Amino acid sequence: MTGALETIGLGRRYRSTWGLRDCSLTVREGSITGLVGPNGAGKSTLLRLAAGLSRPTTGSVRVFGEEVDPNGKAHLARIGYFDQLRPLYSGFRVEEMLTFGRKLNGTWDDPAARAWLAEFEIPLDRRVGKLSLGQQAQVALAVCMGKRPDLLLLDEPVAALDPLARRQLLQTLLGTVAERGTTVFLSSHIVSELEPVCDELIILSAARVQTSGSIEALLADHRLLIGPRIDADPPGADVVSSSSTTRQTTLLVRGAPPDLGDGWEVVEPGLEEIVLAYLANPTAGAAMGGASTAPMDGAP
Amino acid sequence: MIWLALRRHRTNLLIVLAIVVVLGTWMTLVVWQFRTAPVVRWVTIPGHGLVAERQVDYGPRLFQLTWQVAEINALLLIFPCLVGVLLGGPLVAGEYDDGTNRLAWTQGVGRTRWLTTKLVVVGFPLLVVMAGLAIGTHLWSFHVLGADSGTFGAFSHFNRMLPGVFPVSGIVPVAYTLFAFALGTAFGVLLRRTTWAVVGAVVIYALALFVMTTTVRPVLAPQLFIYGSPTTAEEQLLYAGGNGLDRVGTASPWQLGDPGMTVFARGYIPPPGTPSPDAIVVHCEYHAPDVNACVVAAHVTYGTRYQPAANYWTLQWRESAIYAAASLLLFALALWGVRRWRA
Repeated sequence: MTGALETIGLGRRYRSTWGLRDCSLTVREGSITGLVGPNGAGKSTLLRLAAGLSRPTTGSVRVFGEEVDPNGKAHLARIGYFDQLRPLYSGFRVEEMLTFGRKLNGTWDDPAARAWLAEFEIPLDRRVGKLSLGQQAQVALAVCMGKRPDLLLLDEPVAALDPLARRQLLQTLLGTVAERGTTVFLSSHIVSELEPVCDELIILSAARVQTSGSIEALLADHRLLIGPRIDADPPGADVVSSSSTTRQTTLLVRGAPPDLGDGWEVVEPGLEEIVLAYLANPTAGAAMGGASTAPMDGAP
Repeated sequence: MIWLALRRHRTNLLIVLAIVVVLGTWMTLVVWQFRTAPVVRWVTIPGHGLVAERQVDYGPRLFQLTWQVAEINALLLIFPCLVGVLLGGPLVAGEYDDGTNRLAWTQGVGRTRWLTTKLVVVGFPLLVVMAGLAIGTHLWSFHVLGADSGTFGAFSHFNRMLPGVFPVSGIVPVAYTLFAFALGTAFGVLLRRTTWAVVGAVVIYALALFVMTTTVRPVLAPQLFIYGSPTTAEEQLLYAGGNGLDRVGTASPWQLGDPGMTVFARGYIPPPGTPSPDAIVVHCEYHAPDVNACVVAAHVTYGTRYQPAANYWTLQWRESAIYAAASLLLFALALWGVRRWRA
């Protein structure tokens, strides 16, 4: 099954460090997939590789089944990319950024882009450099939207916005893409705001994918076990992470929780707890069951 | 894409145009002042006929006109590098600085069309403006000929072969500008920062000009000989870029004695079969009472090798061709780098 984005063993090395390593995942077409991880985890690297701004060192990356060609017109027409640094031509007026979008793209939906700007009350005649950072992010997104892409690659799209604006933007994004079935792949390091918006989640840490899958499956498949302090992980349990105080141990396990007897409480964790547990233990990780899983042993 | 390239670089293009207009105005003013200066005498310059020599060695106003001419000459010398690098440096490196290459390279046009459009939209007006300046300089030079009868001689502005005059005359300034533009662009792709691109481009430009002037230009066209020392009249003609002064000489390797003011060399020619006359000349200088007689007795002759003025346009075209070819290579390199390397 081809996803909107599919990577097999994808890796990117910069001189001596790997920005991304052994990344095999699939982003399901039509889904809204979140990408979480700490700074330096490789989220931006992954998004840039998908956009064709970087070439893979190892492995492959495909968008809608086609190998990514950085100069390919077909590829460029299907993606919309929002960079973390929100680059814009600071001397241009907002109106001119729309002209930019129109002139450089084959298909351009001017009313959609203008509607996006109007929704967030961005003045068209103001110079981009004079806008607030949040407004600049909106302009960059408007350019992405006007392109009518099939796959949106957004690197920390809400980072510059205040909490209310963040929620508003994500809701509007949700509404806009629902009608066209656009696939959205966005990164953030705030899990709580991704949860209401995303169907699926990919956790990236230390240049590797720790886990990926639908949020429902993630929540259903993990349990918190809280009980008296033990010094070793119980055998037969897939422990993602454990933390202990002097008298108590908390385990996050994946799969069916083992029966450790009385004194142990089984709790359903929130998404944020799951993500934090994975990030705290970079060696833990496995692909989740579900339609979005890519085979672990992909082509080399 | 044409719209984007113009919109993005229009400021720099206008700056270049403004500078050229200012310089052109200054040159026009200088010409006007010369034309209104009193004519003192008429001289015949070979190849140029009768030319009015204006008196410039008294009267502060007229005297400082020669300084203005010298300053304008100096500006014209650095102009191609200045404007080429001013436009070429930020062309790609400016985008890397702002990160806007990531914006542009994820729209609908590929990187190839992005760069080639920029090169044409910015480069073509640049060359047109510089061609205009070259024509203006050509016309200007006729009016200021004979102005300077001081230290550099009345003929300094006639001799277009001089290292200080050749690069600002004819068509080479246009080729130099293309080269500087290509250097700025290529270094921008390579180094990704405008400041470093500018520095790198200027350094290589200067190096190239140095190598061209000292090594390549003298041999771009066949040189002519005079055996023995030139007579005074011949000497004057040499400095005026005289033609047909050769007294039959067979080519033989010899040392470059005195590069001098024109593209010529002067030194000792060894007898056939001897690689270098050094040892003989030194021996004569230290041991013989009459150096010249000693040297002649050893079959070593003294001579002058020079580029005749007739070769001027040959040298201009060939030098321009070399720079143009180098520019094309640099553009190809820039294009390859933009396509291949990460954003």
